[in-house]
Amino acid sequence: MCQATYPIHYLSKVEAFFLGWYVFDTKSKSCLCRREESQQTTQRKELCRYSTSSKERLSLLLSSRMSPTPSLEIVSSFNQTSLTNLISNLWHLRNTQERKGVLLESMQAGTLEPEVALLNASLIPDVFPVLAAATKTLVAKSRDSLTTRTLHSELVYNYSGSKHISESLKRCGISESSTYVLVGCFGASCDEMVDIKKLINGKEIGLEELERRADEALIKKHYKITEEECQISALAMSITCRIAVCHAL
Amino acid sequence: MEVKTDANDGSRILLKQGAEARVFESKFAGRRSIVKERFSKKYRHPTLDSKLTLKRLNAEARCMAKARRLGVPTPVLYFGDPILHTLTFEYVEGPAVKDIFLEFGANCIVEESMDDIAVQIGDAIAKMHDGGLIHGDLTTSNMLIRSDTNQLVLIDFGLSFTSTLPEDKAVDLYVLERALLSMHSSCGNVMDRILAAYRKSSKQWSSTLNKLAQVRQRGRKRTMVG
Repeated sequence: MCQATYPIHYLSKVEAFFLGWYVFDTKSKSCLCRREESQQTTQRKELCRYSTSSKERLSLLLSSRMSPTPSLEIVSSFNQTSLTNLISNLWHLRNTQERKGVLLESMQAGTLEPEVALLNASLIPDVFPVLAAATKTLVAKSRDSLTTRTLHSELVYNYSGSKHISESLKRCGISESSTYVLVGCFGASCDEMVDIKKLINGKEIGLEELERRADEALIKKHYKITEEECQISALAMSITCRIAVCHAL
Repeated sequence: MEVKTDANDGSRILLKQGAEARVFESKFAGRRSIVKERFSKKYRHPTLDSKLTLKRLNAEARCMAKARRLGVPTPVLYFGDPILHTLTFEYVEGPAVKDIFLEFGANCIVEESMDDIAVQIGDAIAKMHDGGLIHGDLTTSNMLIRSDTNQLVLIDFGLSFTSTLPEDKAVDLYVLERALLSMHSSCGNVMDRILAAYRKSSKQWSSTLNKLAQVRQRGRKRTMVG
C-alpha cells in the first residue's frame, strides 16, 4: 500500500500549512479548522509527529487508509506560468519582496517546501474561475485583508464562492476521500515545482482534462446553479460570477 | 489606496463616461474585459459618498447575479473591488441593439433578425420580471447582441432593484417603449412584437400589461395629488 510522506511547511508560529485542512498550532496543538472530533481526526493527530531533524518541520505520515485509492492523482502542477505571470503582472514589486521574505524565513527555518493550495478538482471545470479567485486573493493580500490565515487557503476559500470558511475549506479543499486535486502555488519557481511534485504522491494529469473530469451535478449543487442559468452560459462562467459576487451578498 | 490597479497590465482605455461611472476596456487574467468604475462625487460628504457608492456597486453586482440565475444573459462578472469601487466584466463582442435598429431604420429592415431580437428582448424581460427583478434602465443601448451566437445580453444593472409590484414592471416596460419611440420610430412597431413575446413567456403578464395601459396615460411618475 502507498505510504506517502508529506513534509509540511511551517512559516512562523501559526502561519499555517494545510493538509486535508487540518491546521495545527504548535503550541496548543489545536485544530484551527474545527470539525467534529471524529475518531478519524484523533487517529490522524496521532499520526502527526515532530521530526527530530528540524524543529520547525513537521512530518505527517499518511497511511493509505486516508485515500481509498493508492495514489493521489494530481492535475498538472497548475498552470505555473499563468499564475506566476498573474502575480508579476499584478504585484510586481510586492511579489518579489514578499517572495524573498518568505524564502528567507523558510530558509532560516530550514524549510524550503513550498506552500500550496490543494483544491478539489471535481469542482473545477476550467482554470479561469481559479484565476479569478486567485486575483481576488492577491488583491486581498495586497491590502492585508485576508480572511483566512494564509494566502493559499484564501485561494481555496475564494474559490468556494461562499462566506463560510470551514465549510468552503471542507468542500473545495481536499479531504480523506479526495483522489483528484488541483494544486496551486503562487509564484512558484522551477525548484518549488519539483518540491511540490515530491509533496504529492500521484500521477500528473494535463489541465485539459479538467472539463471532462468535472462533476457537473456536484458543481450545480454546491454553487446552486439553476437549470435556467445553465442554458445561458457555461458552468465555468457561472462559477466565476459566484466568486466575484460572493462578497457583495 | 496606493495599490496600482488590479488585474490589468496598467493599460486601461476609457470607453465611456457617464454621470455615475466610467467604463474602461482592460485585460483580466488574459481575457478582454470591461471595467466599470464608480467615482466619488466631490460634492457629497466623504463618508456618505463612499457608503452610497459601495451600496450601489454591490447592488449592481447582486442584481446581475440574480438576472443570470433567472436565465437572463448578462455579461460574466469577473471581479468586484469594494475599495476601488470597480466591477470587472466580460467583454461582450458584438453591436448594441440600438446600432442594429438604427441600421435597419437607415437601410431596410431585415424582418427575420428583427423578429428574433424582439422575441429575445420580450423573453428576457419576462423572465426577469417573473423573478421579481426590475432592470430600471431598459433602453436599446443597454442591450447587446453577441456576434457569434446572436444571443441578447442585457447590461447596466446600475438602476435595477427587486420588486414584484405590477406598477414597477409596467414602468420598466414603459421606459423601453418611450426609448423605442424616440430612437427607432422608423423601424415600425417593435414594441408590439416585444410585448407579444413578453405575454408568451411571462406568467403574470395580464396585471403588468393592464398597469402599462394606465402608466401610458399618466406617464412614468405617479401623480402626487391627494
